Amino acid sequence: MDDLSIVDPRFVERLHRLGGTALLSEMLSLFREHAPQRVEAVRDAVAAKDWASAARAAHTLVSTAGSVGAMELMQRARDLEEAVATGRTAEVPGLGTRIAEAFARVGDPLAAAERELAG
Amino acid sequence: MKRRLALVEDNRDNRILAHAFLDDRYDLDDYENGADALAGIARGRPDLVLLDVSLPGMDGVEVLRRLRADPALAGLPVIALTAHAMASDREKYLGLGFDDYVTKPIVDEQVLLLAIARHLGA
Repeated sequence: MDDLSIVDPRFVERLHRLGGTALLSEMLSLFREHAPQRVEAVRDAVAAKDWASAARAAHTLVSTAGSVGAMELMQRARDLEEAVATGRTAEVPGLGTRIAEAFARVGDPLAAAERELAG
Repeated sequence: MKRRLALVEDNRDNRILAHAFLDDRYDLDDYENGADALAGIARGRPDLVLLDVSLPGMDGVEVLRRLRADPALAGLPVIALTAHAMASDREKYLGLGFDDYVTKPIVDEQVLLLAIARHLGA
């Protein structure tokens, strides 16, 4: 559908440049701790048809994903947030699934980028 | 002496990132919610405020409204930080009285640094 990267390496490289391995690992651990909770919160809210909560969880996920350069996950979270904001709630369950799919793809490339920079 | 900025942001990852961008140029006071920020800003008198719009509880727009309503703080430069995607958001937030608007995630930290420098007049 589009050519979004799963992980944009510039974000990971920047973390390493700004704060070395310590900052990079800290941000990645925060991502690994928070992203699954937020993906789950989106899924639970979608299952309950609670669109407002789904949008809030997706909004938080935008930041969480964006701070480590998880571009596809960030965009999918934005898509859901925007669908709720513009009243396209029929699309929300499908967008929730796409968030979960994007999240499932992000772990390996992030770990690879981390390994490469940590040397 | 470094200028002092208030950073009002509920997400810990975003706070860490902001510190990584800004610590060598500015002193940052962190606040995780609007009520703490209003109290702390009145006491600490920063030179500029970086304000997340989507705070839980009192949101950034309300924090801005209260800052502007206080004659002692009304002139403080306030930069909105938001993860909102809509193209019309910039006009919306400037219309609400924010001095500037920076979208998250911050793809190029120069955008943030330039916005801060512009409003500090330095």
